[in-house]
Amino acid sequence: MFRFRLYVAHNTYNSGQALANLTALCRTWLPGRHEIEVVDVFREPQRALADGILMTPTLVRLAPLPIVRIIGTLSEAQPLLPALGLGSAAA
Amino acid sequence: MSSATAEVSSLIEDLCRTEQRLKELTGGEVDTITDRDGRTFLLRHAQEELRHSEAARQAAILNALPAHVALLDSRGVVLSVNDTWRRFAGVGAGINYLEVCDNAVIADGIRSVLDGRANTFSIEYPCPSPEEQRWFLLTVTPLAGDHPNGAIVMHLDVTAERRTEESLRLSESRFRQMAENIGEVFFLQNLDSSEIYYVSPAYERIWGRTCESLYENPASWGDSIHADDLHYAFGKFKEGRNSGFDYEFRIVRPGGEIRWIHVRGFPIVDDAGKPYRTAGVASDITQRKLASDTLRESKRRLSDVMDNVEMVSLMLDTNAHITYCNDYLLRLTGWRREEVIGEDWFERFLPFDRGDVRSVHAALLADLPSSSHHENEILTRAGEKRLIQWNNTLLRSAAGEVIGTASLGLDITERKQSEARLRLQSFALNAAANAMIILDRDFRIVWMNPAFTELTGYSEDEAIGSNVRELLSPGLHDAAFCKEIRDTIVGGETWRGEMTNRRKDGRLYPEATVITPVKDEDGTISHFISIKTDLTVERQMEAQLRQAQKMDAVGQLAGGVAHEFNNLLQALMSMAAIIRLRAATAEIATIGTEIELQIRHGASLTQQLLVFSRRQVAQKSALDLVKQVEKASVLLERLIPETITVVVEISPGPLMIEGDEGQMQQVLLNLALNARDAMPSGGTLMLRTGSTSGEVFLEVEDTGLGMDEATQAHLFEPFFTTKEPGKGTGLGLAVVYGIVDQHGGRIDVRSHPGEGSRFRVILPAIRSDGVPVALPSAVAEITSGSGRVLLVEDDKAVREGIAELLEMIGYEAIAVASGEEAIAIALDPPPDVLLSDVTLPGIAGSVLGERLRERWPSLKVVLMSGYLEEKSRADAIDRGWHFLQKPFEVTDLATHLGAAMNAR
Repeated sequence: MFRFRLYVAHNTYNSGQALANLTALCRTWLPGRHEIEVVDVFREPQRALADGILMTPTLVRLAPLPIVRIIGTLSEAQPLLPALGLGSAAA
Repeated sequence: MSSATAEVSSLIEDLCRTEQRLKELTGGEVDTITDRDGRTFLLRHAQEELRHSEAARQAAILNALPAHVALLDSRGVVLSVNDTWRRFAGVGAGINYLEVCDNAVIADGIRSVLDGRANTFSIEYPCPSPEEQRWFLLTVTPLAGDHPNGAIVMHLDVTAERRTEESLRLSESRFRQMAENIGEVFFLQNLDSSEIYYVSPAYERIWGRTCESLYENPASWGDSIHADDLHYAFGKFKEGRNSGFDYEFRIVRPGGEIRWIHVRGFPIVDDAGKPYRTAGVASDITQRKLASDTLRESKRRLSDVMDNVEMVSLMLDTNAHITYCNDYLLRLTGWRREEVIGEDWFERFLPFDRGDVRSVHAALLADLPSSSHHENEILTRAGEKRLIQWNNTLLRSAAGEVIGTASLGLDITERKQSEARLRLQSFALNAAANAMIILDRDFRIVWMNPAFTELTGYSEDEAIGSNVRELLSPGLHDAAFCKEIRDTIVGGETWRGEMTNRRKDGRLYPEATVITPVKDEDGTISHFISIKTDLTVERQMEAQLRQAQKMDAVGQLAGGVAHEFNNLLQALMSMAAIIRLRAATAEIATIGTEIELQIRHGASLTQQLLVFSRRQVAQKSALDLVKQVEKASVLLERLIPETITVVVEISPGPLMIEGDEGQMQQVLLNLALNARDAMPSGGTLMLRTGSTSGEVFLEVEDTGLGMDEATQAHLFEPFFTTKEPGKGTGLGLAVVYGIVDQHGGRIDVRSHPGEGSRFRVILPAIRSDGVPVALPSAVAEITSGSGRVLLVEDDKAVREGIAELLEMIGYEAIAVASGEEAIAIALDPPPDVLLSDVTLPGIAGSVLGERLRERWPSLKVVLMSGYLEEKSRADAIDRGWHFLQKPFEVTDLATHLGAAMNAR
């Protein structure tokens, strides 16, 4: 089971892109075995501070360990999949 | 100020550079940054994008709205409109809406909102158009802000809603009209009846209460319900609140009048399907109820009658399908109602012989009078047959059309069975061989069967009403016997016994009687049944049996005695012959002859005894009884004195029997001589012959003294005689009995003292072409012979006598006492003849003969015996041997030995 947490800033353009890309990625690679939690830094600034989030959108892979952080819209699959530990395994 | 301005300008420059650098660093993919204190900054390009997208979204929403929307500034000038407005009005931004609005009310309303006098304004207005009437809802909403700075005007086309509402109003008005005019009460209420929304005016007419009173006090609905139905009605209502209800109950009007109400209701559900109201219709069914109650009651009573009556009640339609049957039929046949209703009556109950009964049904439907009563068997479920007597009638509809049949059936199975049983019993009683009578308490005959007449000779006319004792046994039974019978049967017990009664013709007869008392229902003896068995024949049979047994015993005794005598006589005979043949003087020879004569007389006595005891051998051939009688009558002429007239009545044709001629002559002579002796002072002696079916008879009748019953009882016993001593041997009739018995015949004697006697000898007839058997003729001359004779005889005297005789007639005699000795003795040359007694202590004569013939095949055998049995003689002759009956004379001995020696 993959657990992701995506830090966004309202529905700003990049945050929206990141959420859309993450959702599509999970549907393709991890159907039925992922959880996505979305944290809006404007609504929960303390949580972002506690988690050390400096920028949005930031994706955190909570499981499987180790924790991986990726900043950006998640639009480039080539470097993204190995970083999340997905592409090679599937290939 | 300038330094401050410079610093600001420098900071802005830093800000711009910072943002530019961040954008470069993140590739433009980051919207916010957060500093270490958790302050989040939205980057400017992101702010712009956000704002832009927000505006686009709002415009899209506005344009998508079906309403016409315009934004006015505080003066009423249109700032912007949505697409719908633009398409509809063609007017765009820039014009003052207040000026173009042609509706004063609307203009005033808008103005009041723009001025801040009103918070909102809305109005529905019609908008005539060439095609149709349209309706619009105008809403004016002030633009957000503390003071008026414009407003949003929105027109919404509500034509559809307006129409729905219109039609709703119309339908409600129609409903109301209807609800208020129908006879039933329509009502609408909440679920627990605590609030009435509507009740139609018929309520007032039926309930006698005002609608207002119900609206004000909904509980008065329950108050009106009859106390007896209250619980039931509420129960039904609760039960059907969510699903619908339908029940009947009574109400009490204010005046006390009772009405029957039929109420039906259903729940009204909300969008979620949950009931929230109850609607219903209540109607006054008092008239119908009363009518149907009356009908139901009368039907129920009829049905009760039908179910309780012990008769089958049945209705069939025109196709003979069962439309109704009562419980009795079901109980009788074991079927369940649902298994018979609608079924074909004949298929279900008459799986056999349906044709006839179907035709009855057809005849009934055709209204033929013959069909109203009939009987037929029906079959129960278990397969038992029941006979039903039917009473049928046609069923017609109100219009007179035949719709079926109705039948009442009585189960007469038992009745028929008991009728049949009674018939059978009655038949049996009448047909019974036993005489039966029924007596009343005074022993008077009240009923009798035909056998009673046969037994007693009394007809019904003579017997019925008579006292049975006075009729059958006056003076015959003593008082004690009568009392015993009376005490037994009056005491309720059955009496069994034998008694002698008198027939109508005066003759007495023995009977076995059983008298049984008959009790009526309360146990009182009402009648006696007497069953009588005639014992006359049985008594005769018993007598005959006793007689036969006695004769048999006497015969055995006589036979035994005769045998001993024969041996004795044989010894004497041999010695007498020796005396005669070797006498020194003529005088002694005469004595020897005299002795021989006396021995012969004795031998003839034993001969007769043997005949009586059936040990004499009959030499049977075909004989004509008529000729025998003729022959005997010639002989009799010399024996019968002249005082007696002899009459011979013979039948014309021959009467053939198979018999021994000598014995037949002896029968005739013995009977005739007895008859003669019975007529010392003369009379008539009649000889007759005749025939009945398959039998022939000869009769000897005299007109002499006659015999009483005691004499007749002993008539055929040996040595029984009525003659004076010396006049008779008492063997005459015993010999007749023996001969007739041996010939398969019987003797019928009729005699009464002073009335003479008649002896009838009845013999089985044979066909007239019976072949006569040639009789061996006796040889009187003594023929001397020669040869060796082996004599075996256990009786010493007899052995010595015979041995001497053998030597006298020229034979060499070797005498031994037993078969064992005969076998042991060595003889050379072998004997020519074996002369042996049949009955020997060890090896029997016949066995000895066989053994010795094995040793000397040419040996001749002559057997002799004091007993004369058919079997021994036949055995001997079968083997080609000779047989000598003791006592034999020397001539017999010489003849048989000579014949044996000469045979090859």
